[in-house]
Amino acid sequence: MSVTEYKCPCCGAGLKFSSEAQQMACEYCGTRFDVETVKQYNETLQSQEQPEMQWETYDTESGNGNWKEGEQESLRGYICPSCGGEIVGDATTAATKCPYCDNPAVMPNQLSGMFKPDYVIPFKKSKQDAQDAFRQNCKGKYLLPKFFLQQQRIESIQGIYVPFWLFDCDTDSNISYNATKVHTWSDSNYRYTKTDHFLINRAGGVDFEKVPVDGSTKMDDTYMEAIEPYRYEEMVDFETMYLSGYLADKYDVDADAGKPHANQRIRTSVEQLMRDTVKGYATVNVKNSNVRLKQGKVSYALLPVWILNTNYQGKLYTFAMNGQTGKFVGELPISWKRFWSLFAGFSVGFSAIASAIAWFLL
Amino acid sequence: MKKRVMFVLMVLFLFVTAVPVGASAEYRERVVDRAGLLSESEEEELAEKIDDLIDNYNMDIVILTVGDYTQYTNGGMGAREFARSYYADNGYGFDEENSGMILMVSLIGRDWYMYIEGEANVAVNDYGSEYITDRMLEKLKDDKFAEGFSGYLDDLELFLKAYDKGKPYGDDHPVVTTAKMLKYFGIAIGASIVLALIIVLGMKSGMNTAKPRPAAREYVKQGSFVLTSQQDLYLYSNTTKTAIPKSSSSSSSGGGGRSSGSRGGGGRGGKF
Repeated sequence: MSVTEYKCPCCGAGLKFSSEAQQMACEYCGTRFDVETVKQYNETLQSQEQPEMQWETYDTESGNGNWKEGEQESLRGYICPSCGGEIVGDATTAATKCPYCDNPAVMPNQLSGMFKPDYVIPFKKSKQDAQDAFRQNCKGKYLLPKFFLQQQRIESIQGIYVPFWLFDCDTDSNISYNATKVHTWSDSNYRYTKTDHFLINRAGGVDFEKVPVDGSTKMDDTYMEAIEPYRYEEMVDFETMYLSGYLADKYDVDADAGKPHANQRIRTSVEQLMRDTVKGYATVNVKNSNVRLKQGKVSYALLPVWILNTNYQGKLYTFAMNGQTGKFVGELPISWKRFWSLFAGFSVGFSAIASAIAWFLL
Repeated sequence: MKKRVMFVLMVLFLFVTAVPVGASAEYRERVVDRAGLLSESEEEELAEKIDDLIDNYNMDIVILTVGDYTQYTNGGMGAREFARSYYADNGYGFDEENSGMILMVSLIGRDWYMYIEGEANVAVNDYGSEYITDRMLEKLKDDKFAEGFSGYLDDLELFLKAYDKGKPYGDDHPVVTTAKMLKYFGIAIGASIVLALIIVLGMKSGMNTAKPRPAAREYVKQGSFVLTSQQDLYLYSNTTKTAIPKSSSSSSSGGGGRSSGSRGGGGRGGKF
């Protein structure tokens, strides 16, 4: 006959039944538990040992849809001899500059292995909007080197359709948290701190729609996440005509490679959502999280991004704007001279004020 | 009836006139070292200090050491009463309120009392007597009597000076030592530097708006979130205790405390 060994919730050692106390006791750490508590604790943990996060495969041979006749012929491929970036444009749009590394010479390239995207969100923001946003972004930045803005060729900002994998799924999750409540009180000699430990369990479901994962290694994931979210109401089925006047990036991260990232974002969201329902505790930490996906579906979309990669004093700075909503992000260079002189100025100024106040108070 | 009134008036007259006449007529020692705790030069030094203080602030200051004060009191008086009566009986004190103070130290029982009379209670109030004697007791505990008395007089001068300027020290106007002042300014400057650093670091972080999004909550289908079960299971508790640090005041170290006496005098005393 096999005996189930119950683990101590406090230290993980095996628990034994103490006949005197009529409780389960841990010989290692000395903590005692009600039998019912231990049973529930172990049941909760066991319920979470299930497989999770399975996605339907995206058929990389053909994509979800196929090119219509003549469609692919209207596209032109380019390759950047400097960074190896592959871009695509329609026949009417000549690529003159690599949007990733700022290299002014791009070469025509045989277009192959590109699948027809399922969806596209057309550009809504113009080049002028992007340039204005860049200037606006530089405004009021005291740490910006003085001549940075003048030296930038912001007219070279480019509109590019970035490939994204969009992950749809329903989830069925079971998350447990370690939580504590803390009470303190004191008598004339001691201050007491009592910590109550709880195991919190939440199970439930939530559906996700089109969680985007950047499908291009050339595009920094951080930047692509930072310009999110896109409004999917304006997303339409892909037609090559939307490419006219813009470039498109050819994806080089396939759907499978994008899954771990999507999983991570979905898991974090579920943990946060469930966490929001855990109230009244001093600390709450995830102990186990089991997120099962149902009807995981992947689609492929081109989303609009205005991008400027620019060299400043030997370092590449990237700026990106959501081509639909106009959300602008980027990292501006920092003038350390300005940084330290501002720091010194503030320090001296505040010290003078604080010393004056101290002088009057004393 | 008339006789009785006359008698009372006579007694009062004698009492009122006798003491002040004696007080102004003879020179009184201000450092009375009956217990022999001080060398001659130490005694002189202290006496000089006291003379200076008396000249400047017009408050009487007496330091009295005895071997065992109970020998003088036939067991009936406490340290406070002994100090008070010594001060009164020997005609110490200036002005009509006999303003001044006496510090009595009795070696055998290691008792001490600082008795304060008249206007001196304004200069050296509860806050002052605690401040001055706490610092002195540190020295007396190590039998450093000359040092203790000298420090006592230095601290006393601080309080007399503040009183003289019309702003006596008290709970609402505490003594500011150089160390305390440095501490305050140190805190002010330190806090300023930290604040300046927070501001410039905030500006620096504002230079990079490309921040990753670890979650994907924007993509949750509206109204799709349902909880199918929730359970909050209490497991166990543990309790820790930490000792509360004791503040070291003279009352706990020597059983001292302030009391008001029959002649409106204040003071503080205890054991060292």
